[in-house]
Amino acid sequence: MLERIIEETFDWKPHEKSMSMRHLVVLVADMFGWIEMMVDADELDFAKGYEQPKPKTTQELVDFFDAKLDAGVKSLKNANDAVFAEDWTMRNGGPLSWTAFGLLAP
Amino acid sequence: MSTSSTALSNNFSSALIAEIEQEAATARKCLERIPAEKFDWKPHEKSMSFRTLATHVAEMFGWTPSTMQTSELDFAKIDYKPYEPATTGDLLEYFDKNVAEAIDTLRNSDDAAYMENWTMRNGEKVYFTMPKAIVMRSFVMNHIVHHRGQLTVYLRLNDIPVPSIYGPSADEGQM
Repeated sequence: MLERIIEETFDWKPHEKSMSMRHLVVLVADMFGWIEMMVDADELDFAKGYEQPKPKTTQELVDFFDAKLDAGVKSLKNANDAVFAEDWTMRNGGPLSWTAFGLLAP
Repeated sequence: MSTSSTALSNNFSSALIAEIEQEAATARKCLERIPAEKFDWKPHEKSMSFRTLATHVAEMFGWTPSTMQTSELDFAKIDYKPYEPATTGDLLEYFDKNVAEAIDTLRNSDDAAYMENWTMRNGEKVYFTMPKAIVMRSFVMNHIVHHRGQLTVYLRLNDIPVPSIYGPSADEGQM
């Protein structure tokens, strides 16, 4: 699906409140990289900064996707069952903001 | 370590029930916002109507019993007619029934069942044969998520507030 998206449509969006094609598609590609982050790390802290890459061409986009997918598969190949029972936290700075399955932390 | 050899192991079901409850809650938030007067709307002539798409999302949770309790689905042997809700209430009632049956089915499925093969076919033509674990994870769960994503675009294009699903939308759930 990603390889069908032409550069001329990267800025297109179906509604003013929607993500642009570029933003949406980079998010889809990037999420494969979250596998590595969830298996090999215990948390994501937004306070430490995150910047979304901005591919200029379809090829750059596909290359970015391939790299993220490879990293994700590699992490899973090295993960044992016990890793999946460990907690993982999403936070923004100090206070715990969210844990798996949307359960609010105490 | 238990010495019992008869205790059922249900790791797959524990993980999948937690997942279904999470995904069903957000799917329901999408379905309950669709007014019946929009049921025939579609964004493109090749797209499904709002009714067809929403019913499909609700329907897929109901594929759980046939996946876990049978070994195949043969379209040549069934007369498949999708449910046609007339109101938002009809749609939600159908959805709630399917979700409840799905969870009940999984509560009674042990790990060994997930490794059995399941086939989708139309008579001689076999579409796929896969372990039930993969049918549930991919063909049921990922498939629901895929169409629920389309549903949020249908909501957006009709200026109906999009609920927070995995994170904030432009309307709700600011972190």
